Amino acid sequence: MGGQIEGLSKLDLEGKGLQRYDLQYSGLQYFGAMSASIAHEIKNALAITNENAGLLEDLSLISIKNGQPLDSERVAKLSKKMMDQIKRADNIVKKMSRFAHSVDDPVKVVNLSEVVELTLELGRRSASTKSITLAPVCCDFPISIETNPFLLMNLLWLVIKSAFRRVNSDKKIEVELSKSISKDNKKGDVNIIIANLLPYNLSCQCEEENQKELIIMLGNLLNLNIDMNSEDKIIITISQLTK
Amino acid sequence: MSEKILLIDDETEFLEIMSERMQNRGMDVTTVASAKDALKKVQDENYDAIIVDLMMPEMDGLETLKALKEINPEVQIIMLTGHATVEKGIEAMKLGAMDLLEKPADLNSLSEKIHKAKARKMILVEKKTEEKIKNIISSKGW
Repeated sequence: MGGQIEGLSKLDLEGKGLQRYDLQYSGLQYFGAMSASIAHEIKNALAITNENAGLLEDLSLISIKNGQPLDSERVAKLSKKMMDQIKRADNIVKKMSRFAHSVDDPVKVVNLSEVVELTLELGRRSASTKSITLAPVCCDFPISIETNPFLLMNLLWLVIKSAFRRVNSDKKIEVELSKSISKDNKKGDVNIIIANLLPYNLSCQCEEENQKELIIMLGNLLNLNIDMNSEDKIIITISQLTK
Repeated sequence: MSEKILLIDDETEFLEIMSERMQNRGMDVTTVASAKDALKKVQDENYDAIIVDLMMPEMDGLETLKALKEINPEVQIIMLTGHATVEKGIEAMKLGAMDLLEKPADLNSLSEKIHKAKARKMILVEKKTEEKIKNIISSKGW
């Protein structure tokens, strides 16, 4: 694995001033939206830690007032709750750090399932505001690809967001990864499948026109093929040259 | 008399601890983890103050605020937020929120705001009662 993505050198957008601005702005919007969501999650963990610490203080004041010893079992439980929230915040910060480093290199070899999973993890809170669940990525094998990780995450998020309007009645979006190799063994395709969607229809088409343009632009930039019109799924195909 | 509070937040652990701390301060606290449940509660019960998380799944805090005000315009709402943007705060105040506090909140500040909310609500209710009495007196021609 780890073959070169064909046409990644097409990153040059010279002569396409407006498109370059759209792409940069879309990237900035994505970075901003995810950072705000991360900040909110951290604040929630801090708020719970703050209340647990406050409750410990309340209990000690009550025990002094009543001249009774502190309930050690209760104190231990509250300490455990605080440690759990610290772990939670630490996990969020780790995700934030991985996300922040996704802009370090224009092209990098990455584990595709990790990139997809990080995109889903970061987007879960935003999806939940629409009562939509993003199921964990379904992939049993490692897939290494060479790409721009941030642009790929941005593209994937735009595609998932466009799928919000097409989600099935159970409101659960599933993401699967699959790969296939051509008969001559020279070319391999990796598919990111966004599944459990309703059929694409004209109303989706009108509402999503601007977003779809951006998706196509990003897809071209990363040399990916995106099939948005499939019956109950969206398929992103990454063509690779096998070594 | 103790303040009757409705606390709305999708973080159940936050609800659990915050309500215990508020109860320790003599408040009568009911908790719900969704806006939908809150709307049901407000139809049946009268609260001195409602504390709402600004960002929740399904229906966010601002939508919840609007819906609560539609059910009971006198209700006093304090918004709690982890997302402290000035715009959201202004929008919440325009929609009739009494105040806005950033998470993690200081319980002493929150308690002060709850006392103020109760006082405001009592004034509104007294005014309304006074108007009702005036209307009855004038319509009967006594």
